Amino acid sequence: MSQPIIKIDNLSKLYRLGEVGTGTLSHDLNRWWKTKVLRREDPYSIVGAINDRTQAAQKGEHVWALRDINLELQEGDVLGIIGKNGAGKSTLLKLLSQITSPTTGRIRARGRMASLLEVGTGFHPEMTGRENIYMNGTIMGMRKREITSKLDEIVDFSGVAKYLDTPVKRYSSGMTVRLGFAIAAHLEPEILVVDEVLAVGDAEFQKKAVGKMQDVSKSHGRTVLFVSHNMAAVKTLCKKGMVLVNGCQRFEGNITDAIDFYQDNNALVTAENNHWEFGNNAENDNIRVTSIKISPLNGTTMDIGSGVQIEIIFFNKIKDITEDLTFEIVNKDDVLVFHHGFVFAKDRNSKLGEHKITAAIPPHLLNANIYSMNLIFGQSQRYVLFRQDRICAFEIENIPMENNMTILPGVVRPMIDYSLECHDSSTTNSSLRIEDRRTEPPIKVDGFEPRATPDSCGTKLPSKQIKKNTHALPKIIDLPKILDPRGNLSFVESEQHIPFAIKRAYWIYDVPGGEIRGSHAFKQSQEFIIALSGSFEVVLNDGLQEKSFFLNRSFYGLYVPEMYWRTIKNFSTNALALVLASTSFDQEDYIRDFHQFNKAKENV
Amino acid sequence: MNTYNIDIKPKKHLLDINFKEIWFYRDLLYMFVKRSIITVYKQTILGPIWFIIQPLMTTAMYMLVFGRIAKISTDGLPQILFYLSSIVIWNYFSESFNQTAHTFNQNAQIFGKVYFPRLIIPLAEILSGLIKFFIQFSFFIIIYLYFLFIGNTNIQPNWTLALVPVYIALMAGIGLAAGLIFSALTTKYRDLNHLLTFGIQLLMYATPVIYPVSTIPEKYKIFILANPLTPILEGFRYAFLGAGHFSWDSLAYSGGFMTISLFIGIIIFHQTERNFIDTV
Repeated sequence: MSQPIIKIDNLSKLYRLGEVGTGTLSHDLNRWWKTKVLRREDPYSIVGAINDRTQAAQKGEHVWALRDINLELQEGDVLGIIGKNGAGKSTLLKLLSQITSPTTGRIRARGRMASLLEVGTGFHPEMTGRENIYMNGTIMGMRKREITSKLDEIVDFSGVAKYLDTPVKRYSSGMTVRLGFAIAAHLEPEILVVDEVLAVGDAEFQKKAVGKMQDVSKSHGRTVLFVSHNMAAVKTLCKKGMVLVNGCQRFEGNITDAIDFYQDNNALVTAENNHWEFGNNAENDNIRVTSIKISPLNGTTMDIGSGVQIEIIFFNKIKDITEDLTFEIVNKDDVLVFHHGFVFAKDRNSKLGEHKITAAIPPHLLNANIYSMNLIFGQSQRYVLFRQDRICAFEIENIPMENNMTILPGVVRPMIDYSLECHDSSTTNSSLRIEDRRTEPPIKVDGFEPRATPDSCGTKLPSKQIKKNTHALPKIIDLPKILDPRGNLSFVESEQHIPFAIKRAYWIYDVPGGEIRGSHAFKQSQEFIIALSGSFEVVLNDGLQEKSFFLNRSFYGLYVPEMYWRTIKNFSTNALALVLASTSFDQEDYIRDFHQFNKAKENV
Repeated sequence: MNTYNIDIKPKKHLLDINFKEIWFYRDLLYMFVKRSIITVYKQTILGPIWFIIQPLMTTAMYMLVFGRIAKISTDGLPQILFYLSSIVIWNYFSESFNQTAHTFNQNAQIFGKVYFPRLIIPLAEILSGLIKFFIQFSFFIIIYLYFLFIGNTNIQPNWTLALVPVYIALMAGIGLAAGLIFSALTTKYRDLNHLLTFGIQLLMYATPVIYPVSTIPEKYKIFILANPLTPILEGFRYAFLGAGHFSWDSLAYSGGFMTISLFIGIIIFHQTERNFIDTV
């Protein structure tokens, strides 16, 4: 092993808590007298106090923001420093970049070290982009001629060429950040120290920035120290990882192990069966959180389709305020999936005592992942009364989709209905094939002709209704046998059995829990519904009466004329409905409100 | 192989000041000077003319208040030359002092984010002050030459004109030293900020700016002469106008004062810069 490029030995940093300023002259004189003249211990230092922010600070207390950090990095190493807020990450960066000096220990490094704790340091709003490139570049330790030689590259990378001679105060914040980063990216230090600057800027720019940093470390063999909350970025960028907890170095090694270590140690309490009892661990002057229970909303396993039920029991200590509870769901990559709150005490009517809030995250929202929850209590949706990040964690299991066992990428995994229109590329004009057909009469093929089967399911609409409804009636229509177990849809292609030209086809599946789906009517569109698998019930309402049709995977389908309120329910397991429609998708065609439908029916 | 060029330790030796590093950052020094000069007159109509208007208006006001109303002697010199020369050199001192005294507080934002030798900032203030001084000084020279050749006055420029650069250097040095000490102390004891503005104002009255030393009653003279700025102002005026007096002893006194205070200032400043961000 060659000599490390950075060597950190027993590095510690002590901070004084509380207000600094008043009374410090007497403290200073006292300390100087005791330590320097009498050679005693510093009277104001409480030795051994660790940086645990949850404990209230005593007056004049000192705290170790960093304690005994040892680290050696070789040339080309990319180290990710992770830890909770207040774990000492920023302090370590400040020490490394010589912004403040350590209390004990030593850092030795070889070569030029540049720190990027902020982009665009020293930018003056009145100066032009060009002047600021020189200003910022020299602050970062570049020489003027070095900047001149790289000016074109910097301008090119930042994409602000057009505004180079415009004062920076006229720049958008994104442009300022891009310019700042472009300068930093063209520094050529042997060691680069980067704070979470990538959190700003648009997605495209972030990608560019991470790419540039990878480029710097890989192709130029530079050493990078990167601090971030963004596990995804840390993972892509770093090879080594270090976890800081309350100022102490708790883990050092491979980045994947470091992230796992961090996440395992992050939930406040690990609990059996997703039930957390907090005792006094989650308490302040306003709120005491007693317990949290997380369970599947439907069924027994927590998977994508089950939904999540969250039950929070807490003791409220303030009355007569407007109070709200907010929770944030954060996934393993530290992406905030959502932030949702309930104002549980409106108009200043909060009460003392124990409360229980039960909330449900709907099924088909969260993808398979490990989630942690941040719990926040607020007053008037403005002040934070209580906040505990990562108060608990839970896992959502995958359910295979179309026999694909792997977890699909993405933060959420919603269930999405879709419709399909087929453009036939074999015809020279690429118009809709279905549309062409419309002008031709349906071709009759042996034995199969659209016909009504009035009683195949024992359903017949009452005669009173027939009189009132001048338009077509719903009917069951026979179909050729669906032979292929996966559902061969050649009969759809041939279009011989459906009494209209098909302009749109889509599927409706069930939602666990026997949910009602597809409840609406169409002004123009007729439909033909087929059970491709399983069974379900189609309920039709013409404004006077409701009629139910039971469909299963057999040899008939249901024809639904326009202006019928149609609902599909009681799906069996894995039921799948194929809906063929006579018009293409048109928002205007939908009637989604039942009252509106009734009104429209009366007008007919 | 032990070639670590960066070595961060808790305590540095009092005199461990890396002048080589300051030299390496000379481009930054240049940029800071440029910044403070050009940002002053960005989006103004008169631009750098403001540097001249300020001493001109002050001179006019002094002529009215101290010359006409209070009738303070100017050693028989034209009032405009007396006041303008004093104001130009005094302004340089007060600017230097005032600007460098705010080094830490005004640049906390930058200091909290990036490392460079902190001494660059006060040095840049001194240098940009020097540029402003030369603009005002040229203006003074124009008026001076007018009086010298056209005006009917008893101005007697003499050989001590050769010492003018020394006077300027002394002013810069003492202003820097005072500013460094002040800036270091204000990071912890903000009270000094309040003291600064009127402190400089009071110091002006304790220095022969609006009056010549010759008008001071004998029993107070010792206090005025103890002020290390007195020989500089007197010497500066003597060189151009020939009134007042000049002595090597008092000049040496000022020089000695500057050297010692600058030495102390740099040490205090250097000790403060290492941890000031924790207390600011």
